Amino acid sequence: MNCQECEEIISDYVDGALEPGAQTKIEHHLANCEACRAVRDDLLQIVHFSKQLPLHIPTSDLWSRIQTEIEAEQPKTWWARSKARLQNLYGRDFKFSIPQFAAIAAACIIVAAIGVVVWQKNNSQVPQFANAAPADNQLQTKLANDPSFQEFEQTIKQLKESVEQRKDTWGPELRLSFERNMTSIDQSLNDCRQLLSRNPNDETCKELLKNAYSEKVRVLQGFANF
Amino acid sequence: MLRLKDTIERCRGRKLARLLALLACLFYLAIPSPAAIKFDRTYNIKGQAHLTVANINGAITVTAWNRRAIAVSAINEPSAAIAEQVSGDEISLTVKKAMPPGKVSFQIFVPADTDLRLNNYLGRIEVRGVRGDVSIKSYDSEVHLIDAAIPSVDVNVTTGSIFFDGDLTGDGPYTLQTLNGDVDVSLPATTSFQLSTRALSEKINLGGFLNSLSSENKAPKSISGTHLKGGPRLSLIAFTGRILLHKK
Repeated sequence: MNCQECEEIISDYVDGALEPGAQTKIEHHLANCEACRAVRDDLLQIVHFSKQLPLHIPTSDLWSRIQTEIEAEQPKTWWARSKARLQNLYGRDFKFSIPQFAAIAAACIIVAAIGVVVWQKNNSQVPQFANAAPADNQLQTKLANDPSFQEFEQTIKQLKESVEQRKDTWGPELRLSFERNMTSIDQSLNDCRQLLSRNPNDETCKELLKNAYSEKVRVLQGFANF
Repeated sequence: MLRLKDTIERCRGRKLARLLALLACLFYLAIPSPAAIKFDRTYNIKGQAHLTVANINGAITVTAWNRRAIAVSAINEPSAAIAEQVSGDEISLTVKKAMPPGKVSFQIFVPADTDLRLNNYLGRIEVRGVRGDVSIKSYDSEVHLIDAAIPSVDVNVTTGSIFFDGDLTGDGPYTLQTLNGDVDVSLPATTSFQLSTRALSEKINLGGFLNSLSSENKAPKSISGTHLKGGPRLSLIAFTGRILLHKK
């Protein structure tokens, strides 16, 4: 990787949004390039200090004003919207040279070819999904037989019953917060299970699965005592 | 002529009505709102203070100051009552559970060496300049630890990001965990620690520390290693969010 390539993806790197392969490449480059390291450190500082800035929440008035202005700018009916779009399109002056036409035709052929390949690949993957189900089942059986997970499941079941009885008295804000937390936890549990079914020896995933279970118990205990 | 007189009369009437409306508004504003009952306390501290705050819904802001006293100011709704328990330098404030729960926002000033234990269900938590042990447990909170030179810290939130800017001054452990949010830590380049990071999202960015970390394990979902001489254990755990560690 050279400095130009590094500059193109460094902000994604700082955001932690790079694929593992690209991350390794940029880290290798950063280890050897002082100038890019300085750019990275500057970006990190900016991100870091921006998080210390006070949080300003726009008032509901402002939002409603923005919404009103957007609505005012948009044509009201479907027909008016379509007409505006068509007028926009006709208003443009399209002029293509022969090489440009050739490039467009080539692009269309490539897109069609990729579509066919992807479609074929997806069709051939059907039996693989069918094979994945027994692995999930195996994992479920394994987890069901693990005493620590059995204990978690039992505690969760009891706590859920207690929470269900009290839920109506909490008020909307707290109820929403509870639902949000439970959704986060269940999502994490599902992600862990899926990753484990693909790689049952992933120790980090097992540990995170236990963490997510503990967290679910903690949240349910907190809300059950409310 | 008569019409002119009528117009003048009408204008006078309108002016009077406007004046009365203005007076009514001023009178309404002068009455304290029943939704903003205030809880104000100052506790004098002789030795090392231990403060526990158990809130339900609302922000908790704790700031270190130079006085040997803890000052608590809370804005609470009429339905929310705060129970206080004081035993020497140990102070405990608990928002009583009510149906539906009332909202309470705490603004607290403490001596820097105060040990803090903050529990919350919902609401931002901010700790500034504190030098004592910190434990924060919440379900739905953004947690900010700023200018923190803390001997040990344990932050656990289900939903919300954790932001730590400070130094590791004790034996630890330093544990920051969130299920749905980022863990963002900023430390001086000279700080020694033993790092353990785990992110289900595989988004771990160790910034400038990556090159100076002697890696014991480097996998997409977990990186662990020793920085400089090692020392306290720094454990960062995120599920859907990112782990960001950078040098100050």
